[in-house]
Amino acid sequence: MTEQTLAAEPINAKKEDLYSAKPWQLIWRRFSKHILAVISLWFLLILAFCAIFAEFVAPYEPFKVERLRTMAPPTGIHLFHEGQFVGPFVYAMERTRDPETTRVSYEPDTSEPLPIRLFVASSDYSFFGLFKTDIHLFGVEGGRRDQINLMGTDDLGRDVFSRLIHGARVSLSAGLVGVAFAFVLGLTLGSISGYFGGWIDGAIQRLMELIRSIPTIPLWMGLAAALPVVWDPLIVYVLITFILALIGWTYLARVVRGQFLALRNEDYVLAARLSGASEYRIITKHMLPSMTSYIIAALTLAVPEMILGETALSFLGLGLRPPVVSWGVLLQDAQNLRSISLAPWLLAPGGAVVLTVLAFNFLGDGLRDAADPYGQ
Amino acid sequence: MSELPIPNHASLPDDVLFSVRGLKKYFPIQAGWLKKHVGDVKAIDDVSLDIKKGETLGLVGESGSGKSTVARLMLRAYDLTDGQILFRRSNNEIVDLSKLTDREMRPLRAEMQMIFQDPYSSLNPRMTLLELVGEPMVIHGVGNAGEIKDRVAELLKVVGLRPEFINRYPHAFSGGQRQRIGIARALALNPSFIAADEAVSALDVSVAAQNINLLQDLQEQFGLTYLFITHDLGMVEHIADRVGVMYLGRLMEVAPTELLFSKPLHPYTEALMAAVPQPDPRGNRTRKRVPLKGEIANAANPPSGCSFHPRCPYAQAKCSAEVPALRTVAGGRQVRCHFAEELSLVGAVA
Repeated sequence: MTEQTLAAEPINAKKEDLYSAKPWQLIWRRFSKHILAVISLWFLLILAFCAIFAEFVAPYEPFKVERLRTMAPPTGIHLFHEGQFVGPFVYAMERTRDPETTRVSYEPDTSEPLPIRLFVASSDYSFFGLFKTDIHLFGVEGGRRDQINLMGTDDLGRDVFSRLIHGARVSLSAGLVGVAFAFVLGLTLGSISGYFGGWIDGAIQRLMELIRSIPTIPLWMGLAAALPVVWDPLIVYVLITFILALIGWTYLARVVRGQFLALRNEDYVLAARLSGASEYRIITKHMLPSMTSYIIAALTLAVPEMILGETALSFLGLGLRPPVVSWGVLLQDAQNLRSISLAPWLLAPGGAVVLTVLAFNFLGDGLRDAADPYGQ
Repeated sequence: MSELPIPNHASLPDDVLFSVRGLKKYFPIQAGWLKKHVGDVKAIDDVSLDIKKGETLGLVGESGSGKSTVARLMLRAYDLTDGQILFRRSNNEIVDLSKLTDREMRPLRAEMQMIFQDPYSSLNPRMTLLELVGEPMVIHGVGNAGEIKDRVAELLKVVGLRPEFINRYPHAFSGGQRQRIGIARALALNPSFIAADEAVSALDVSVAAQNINLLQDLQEQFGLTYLFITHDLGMVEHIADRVGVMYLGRLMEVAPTELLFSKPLHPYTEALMAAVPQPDPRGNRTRKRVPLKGEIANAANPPSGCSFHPRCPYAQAKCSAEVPALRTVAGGRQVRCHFAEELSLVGAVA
C-alpha cells in the first residue's frame, strides 16, 4: 500500500507551483480575479500618487486668488481648431458681466488655441523641502489669466481641481492616520478581550457597546467643540483623526476578538500546544499569521468610515477649518443654494468622496474574499 | 471483586505506561449576572484505567460520552478537576502529570502525541509540510535546519508520502493524505504514546483502512502505544487489544477485545453491539435485539445511581439508588454494574 502511494502521479511543474504557493500568493491569485477590486486598487493607487505629489499634479497653487476669474465653469478641452487637428488645447475665456444683473459669465475666445503641455513651468513650490522647482504635470502656456480649470474655479477664483488634489492629501491621510489609531486601540483591546475572556472580555465588550450606542454626530460635535479655535491646524487635524479613531476602534476590536476566539479553538492551535509550543509561539506563529489578512481587509473597510467622518465634521464646520484644504472644507463652499445653482462644479469634492469610499469598499470586499482560506 | 488499586510512583507495574485513577473533569455551570456557580457538567467522572506498553486500548461510546475528553485530559490539553495520571517516561522515571503546570508539561510532550479527527482543521493552512512536520523538532530544539529537513523527508516516506512534497502546503492534499501528514507530525519526536482521536472517522472506508494499516505498521516498527478513540465498533475490534466502553463520562466496562465482543458484562455494551449493522441479513433475523430506550442523559443532571439505569432493560430498584463502582471481576475484566455476574448477555460474536 505504501509503495502504491509512492509510485503514483509524476510531479507536474505547473501543479507543483500551485501546491507550494505561499498563502499570500494564493490570496493575490484570488484577488486578481475580482475585477472591481483590482480597478479600485488602481484608482486608489493613482489617487494616492496624486495626493503625495499634489504640488506637482495640481496645475496651480490651492490658495492663489484670481480676482478676474471667479466662478469660472470647467474649461472645455478641444482637439480640433477650425476643422484641423491640433491635439488637446483650451480656449482663453472672455469674462463679461451682465450690466443689469451684474452676473459674471465666461465666453470662450475661439480665435487662438492654447495647447495643453506636459511638465510646464508655472508657480514655484518646494518638493518635500528637498529642492525648489516650478515644474507641474500639466498646464497651458500663455498669459497669467489663460488657465485650464478642469473643475472650474470658486468664488475667489481658486482652481477647484488643484484644491481637490491638495484636499485629497488631507482627507486620505486623515482616513489612514485615523485607522492607524483605531488599529492600535482595536488590536490591543480586541486581543486582550479575546485572549483572556472572562470578566475582562465582558467589561471591554460593554464599553464598546456603550460607545457604539452614542449617536456619532453629536458625539463628534461635542468632542470637536472642545478643541480651542486658536490651536494650530495641524494639531487640530491630529486630534480630529484621534476623535474619529475613538469611535472607529470598536469595529476593529470586534474583528480581532472574533478571530482570537475562533482560532483559540482551532485544532492546529491545540496541536501546537500538544507539541509543547509556548503561548508566545502559538500567538506569533499560528494565530497572528492567520489573522493578518482578515485584519488588513477590516482596516481597508474602516478607512472610508474615517474619510466620511472627517468630511462630515469639516462640512459642519466642526472639524478642519480653512486655510487647511480637505474635501470636507471644500464642500463647505458648496453649502449654499447659490453655488449649487450657479456653480455646480463646486460639488466635485463630494464626487471624489463618493468614488474614494466606493473604491475602498470594493477593495476591502475583494481582500476579504481573497483572504478566506476556504473560499474558492 | 475489588476496586482498582491506586499505584504510587513506586508500585506502578513495569509494563504499564499510563495509569489513570479517579480522573474527573467538571465544567462549572454559571448563571445570572454575577456568574453564580449553580452546578457542574460532569464531563468525566471517576475514570480509572491502565494502558500497557505496546498495546492498543480502544475507547468506544456514544457522542458526548467523554471519550475525547479522557484523551485530552491524559495529554493535559485541559486542566483536570481531580485525579492522578501516572506516566512512565522513556527513561523509566514516573511522573504524575496531574500535578504539572503547563510549562512543566512541555518537555514531556515529546513523548506523547495526538492524531486529530479533522484532517483539515488540524494542520495550519499557512505552513508547509516542512514547517508542520518539523515544528515539534523546532520547539524542542532537536537538530539544525538541515537535520530537521532530512528527518521530515524520512518521516514523509515512513507514512507513505513523497519527500518531494516537503514544500507543499496542506491545501494540496486529500483528507487521507492530510491525516498522514498529521501522523508524520505526531511521530516526529519518537513518542512512546499516541492518542488517536477518531483518527479515521472523517475518511472514507478504503482510505480509512489504509491509514489503519499504516498505524498498525508503525506500532510494530516503533513499539508505539495507542489510545484509539472511536465510535466504530468494527474498527475497534480490528485494531484494539483491549477496549473500554464509556457512557456519560464514566467507564462502564474494560475487557480484552475478544472477551468483550463474545461475552459483554455490561448491558450498555450489549446494547452497543446490538446496534452494529450486520452485513449478513440472515444473521439479523436470529440476532437478539436489545432496543435502547431514550437518549444519552444530560451530564449536567445525571440520573441517580447507575447513570445508565433509565435506559437499561435489566434495571432493578438497586440501580437507581446506588452508584456501582468499577470493579474487577473474574478474568481480569472490569465492569461498573451491580448485576454483572447474574446477567447473561449476548455479544456481537456468537
